[in-house]
Amino acid sequence: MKLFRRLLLVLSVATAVVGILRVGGGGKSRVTTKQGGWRSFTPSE
Amino acid sequence: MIGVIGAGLVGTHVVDTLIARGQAQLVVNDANVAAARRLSLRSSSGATKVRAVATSEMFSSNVVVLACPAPHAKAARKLLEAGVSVVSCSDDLDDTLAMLDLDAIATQSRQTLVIGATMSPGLSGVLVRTMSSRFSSVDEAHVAIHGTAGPACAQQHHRALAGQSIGWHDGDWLRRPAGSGRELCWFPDPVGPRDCYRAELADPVAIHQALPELLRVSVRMSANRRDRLTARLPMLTPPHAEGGIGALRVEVRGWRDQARHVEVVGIADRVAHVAGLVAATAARKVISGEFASGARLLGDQDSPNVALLNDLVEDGLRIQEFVGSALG
Repeated sequence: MKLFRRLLLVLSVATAVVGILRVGGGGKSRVTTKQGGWRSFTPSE
Repeated sequence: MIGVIGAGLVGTHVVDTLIARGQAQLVVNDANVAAARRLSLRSSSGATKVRAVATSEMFSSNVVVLACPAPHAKAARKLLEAGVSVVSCSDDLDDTLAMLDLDAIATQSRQTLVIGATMSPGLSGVLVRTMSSRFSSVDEAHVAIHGTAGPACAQQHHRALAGQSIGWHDGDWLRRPAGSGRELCWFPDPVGPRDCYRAELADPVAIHQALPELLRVSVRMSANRRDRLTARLPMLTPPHAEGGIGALRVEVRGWRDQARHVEVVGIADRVAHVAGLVAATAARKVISGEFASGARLLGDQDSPNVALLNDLVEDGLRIQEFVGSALG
């Protein structure tokens, strides 16, 4: 029973950590104009 | 008259583009007769006549666009021998190599065989050629693709991840297992960054043939873990009717002003739409005599690359270039 509780605790902590990491890393940081990025290309240029 | 073999997604876009560009008469053929009839009924209007015909009637066309699943080499040979020019949308490596062998037949019959008139190969070669004008000399071209056109294209890409990739590396063909060589490639929005892997695709052969001065040519294809894990198995689920928004990224490296220089261009659009645009534009260029006879690859010196790219942009293709950040 004690082992089972420890296992549950470890699993819940691991799930929480993974959840935080996923939410924290999920933001879409777009490249701003200042940094550069994709621009329209005209072939005859 | 222009004929289109294949009434799938790419074939439909070829027909739509040709009609939009004023082609009044077209003939279509497909192994699925009902699909060919559906396409002819859908595309015919007052001034435009699109007829679903038997394969034998294709021999009376001036140009035939092969937009059916690979292989195309056998059909291309028959058409060329009958005096019909061919535009092939095949991106299969073996098929591309087989079609390159048809150069003598095409030259002898004074017809043109355009090989790989799709997004990749095809547009990728044209972009490499266009970008090379910004360099003193170019020596590397690296292509990455994301997405598929119709179900046949999805199956071809599934097979490509299980085969052996080929790349041109310092004067020799480099063979590596497909699915290896992960590289994070940034495609234009909305596709963004994708993990890309080596795959058995025809681009290195096509681009090396078109620009023999290049020392290194590689192609990578986006894939996820499931794609790589199941690549050697039959497709577990049927492919989608259309693969959604795809993308092409072409990175050209070389020398400019005695310093290393890199240019990156790309597109993000539906793969079938782009392939249809490229194939239809190539067919129109063949009709107008802008291609020389023989086996031609888009991007080679004798192809009308600038005119073709301008036509594609006029038809709504949005090409983008990557402008890096200025440090300091």
